[in-house]
Amino acid sequence: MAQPNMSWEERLPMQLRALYRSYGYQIYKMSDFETYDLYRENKNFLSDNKVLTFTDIDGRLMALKPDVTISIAKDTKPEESVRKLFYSEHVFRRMPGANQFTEIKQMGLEYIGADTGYAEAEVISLACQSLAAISENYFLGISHMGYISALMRELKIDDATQSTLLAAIGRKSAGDIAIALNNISLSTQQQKAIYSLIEMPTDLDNALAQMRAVALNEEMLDAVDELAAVFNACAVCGLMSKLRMELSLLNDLEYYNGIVFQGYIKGLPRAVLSGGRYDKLLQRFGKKQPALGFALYLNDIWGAFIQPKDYDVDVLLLYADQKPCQIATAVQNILADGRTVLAAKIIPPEISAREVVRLTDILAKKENKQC
Amino acid sequence: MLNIALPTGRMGEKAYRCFADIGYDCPGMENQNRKLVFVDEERGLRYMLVKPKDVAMYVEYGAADIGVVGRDVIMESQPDIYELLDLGFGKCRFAVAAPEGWHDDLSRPLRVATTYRRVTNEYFLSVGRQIETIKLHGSVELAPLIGLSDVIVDIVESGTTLRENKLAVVAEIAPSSARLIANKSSYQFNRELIDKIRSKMEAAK
Repeated sequence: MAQPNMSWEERLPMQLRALYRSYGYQIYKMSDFETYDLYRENKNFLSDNKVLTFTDIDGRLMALKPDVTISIAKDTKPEESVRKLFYSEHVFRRMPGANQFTEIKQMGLEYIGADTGYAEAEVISLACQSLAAISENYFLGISHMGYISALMRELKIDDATQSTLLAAIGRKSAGDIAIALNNISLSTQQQKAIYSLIEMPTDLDNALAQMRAVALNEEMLDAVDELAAVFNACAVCGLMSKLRMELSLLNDLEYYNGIVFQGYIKGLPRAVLSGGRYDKLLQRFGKKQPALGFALYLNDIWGAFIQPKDYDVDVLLLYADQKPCQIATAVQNILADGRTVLAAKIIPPEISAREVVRLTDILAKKENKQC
Repeated sequence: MLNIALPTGRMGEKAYRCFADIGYDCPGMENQNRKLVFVDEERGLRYMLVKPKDVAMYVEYGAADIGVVGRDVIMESQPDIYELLDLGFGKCRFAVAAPEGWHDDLSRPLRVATTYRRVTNEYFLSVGRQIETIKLHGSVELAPLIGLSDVIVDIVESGTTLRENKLAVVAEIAPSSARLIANKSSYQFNRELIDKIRSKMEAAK
């Protein structure tokens, strides 16, 4: 269990594990390696298609895992109807703009067999509680890929135009949306639906009303109904003020098909939590179960919240030629006070201590030279 | 405190006028000096002047909450940011330019000199022309004159520089102008203020 001397970055994963367990999620452990083909075949699911590879002894090309969800989707048995899992793993990725791979600490959870409605509210609530464990100052932006893809189908545009348009929507750029749709004739209704994606009211009820008003087909209306039902369940958990409709938030349409979301924490420049419904990823592995999940990028959090420590230890205990039992007694006494102690014969370089104590001084004071 | 990154140079001056005109002026900004940071504690504003190509980085990494940058820079560096408003000034366009009377020899790859590698590669990929990109850091107009490249890809404003070097636009790639951009996370937490700035600027355009 959590100890008082634990740092925040040691405590947070324990707190999150306890949270996920309390909702009945079981831990999932995976190997560090998978075959390279697994990622090659699903490269669009990864945010970056660079994978760290090596050749195994039998000549197979292997990869250090850049992602956990793909492995869970692959390992899910077709007959397993419901599986609630969480994980705490290291993944190997190239950071944006960097030219080397980084080991990233990732925690997350997956709900295989997640139906629409309550399951979505549960996962969103757990995403919110995960963010709250880091800081109360957070928002969860919510979007719906079903709504977006139903809208895209109405426009009847080619794939290249669609990807330019989606990129412009992702940047909320009205100017670039106009450039992308330059040579395409669209009805006023269709234009209104597109531009409304980048102008969502902050209030959830107003946002849903706007989405309903511009909807072009049944599928878009179904998505709004689904969101309304989920928000009603989230209201029970007291989360309404933390949720925002943000339809410029887009995950890959090839894998994500329903609700998607991203978590932002004040003071951190990028989303630290990302997830959603990815039924289509399981379908690629020939599995019929629907699935929901999210991942939390712990590396991005540490830097911003760890307060630089004034000292590495409370007490630096310097001993000389005293008996080992005398040193051990002194160490035990300091620990008994609830202080941390580093015992050494010489002062270690690059260690700062609140207090340097010489064992000779302690012994001189107490005169307890025997053990 | 709202951090605002503006580019140094002419676009930055115009961008600052946009902020000043809607009531977000900052003492000292108009003086010609070498200071790079200007703070208005009272209204909670901090302006920083950075290289035009760096504005997007400052905003993407959260050192600035909002900023003003040309669309050309956004197209080249593709930062993960929101682009909230086309400010309408700093108009220019990406274009392919070649010496007057140039004719494309389709039997070999086209040699293209540019400072905008990504925009160049994406454009020629989209039109299906194989190229060899020559990355330069400035004075790209010189490259075709001395045979370093066949053509150039650059931003063109009035076309004077091209004409003076006996070059002419042979293909348009994309238009550009100054954009108001915001960090995706900061926008969520300062939405009211940023939306207010955006709508005031839109009205003042």
